[in-house]
Amino acid sequence: MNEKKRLGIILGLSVNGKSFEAHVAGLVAERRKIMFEQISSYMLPTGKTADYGAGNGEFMRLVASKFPELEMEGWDIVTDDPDGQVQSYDGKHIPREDGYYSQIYATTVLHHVEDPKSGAKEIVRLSSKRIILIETIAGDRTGDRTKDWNITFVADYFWRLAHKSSEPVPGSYLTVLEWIELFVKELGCQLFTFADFGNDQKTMTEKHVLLVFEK
Amino acid sequence: MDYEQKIGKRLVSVLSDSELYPYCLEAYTSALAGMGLSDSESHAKKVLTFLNNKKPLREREKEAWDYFGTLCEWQIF
Repeated sequence: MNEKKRLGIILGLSVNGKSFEAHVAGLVAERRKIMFEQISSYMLPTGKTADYGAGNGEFMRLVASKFPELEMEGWDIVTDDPDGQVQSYDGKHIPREDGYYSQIYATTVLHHVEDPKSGAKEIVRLSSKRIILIETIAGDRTGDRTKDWNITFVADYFWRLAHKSSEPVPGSYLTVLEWIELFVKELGCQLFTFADFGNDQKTMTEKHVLLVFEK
Repeated sequence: MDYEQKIGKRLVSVLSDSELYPYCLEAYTSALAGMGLSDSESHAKKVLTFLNNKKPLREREKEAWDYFGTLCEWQIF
């Protein structure tokens, strides 16, 4: 019997009738709702929209269900979308022309990109109007940036572990000011709004911020 | 991405640092409590023990997943 099957049997024997995967799936669904509430009031209700780092596509489908007039596409370097709606790309270039999308959102994605600046540049290239980001900000626990990055990396990894996620965790955390400088000074966007959500997810210890930019 | 080099070894490096470990333990304790787990600190220590060794990361993750599964089996979640 292979390990995966053995684990499945163990989980299937769960006395409470709920596997760990099912438990985590419920928590992930709660997380998606929170993130949707955080970005929904800033979303344009119509137009071509991309979910950058769409993963398994569940968040994209939640957004699409709430904004049925959006023409939605999802992209990720590794897609485990059971519905096959999320498209994969090489992590560098999404095969759409400049300004193809009215808006692009990326929820806790860019710090999973080894070079977040290249990811930001690609988002800006593709968007003609609005960019909505939720980003993880490394905590200030020790006063030393490298140490704080490493603690946040381990904390961030927990969710990958619990979720059995395929996403990479390089932990390329920028500060809020660095994100703003990147998008505004280097990439020519305008800051539309910003919000500090703090520790907004009960199963995560990382802090999150909202950054909305316009072209 | 080199999974072992960039994640597996980095995990060991951070978790082996006596200054950083308490912060990581606090983070995992908080996360597990947020998932509904009682006595979350002792379970967080166990999970970090799985992660902080030199086995291939996939093996470490498998041990942690089995542990999570057992917790569910015993209705601890």
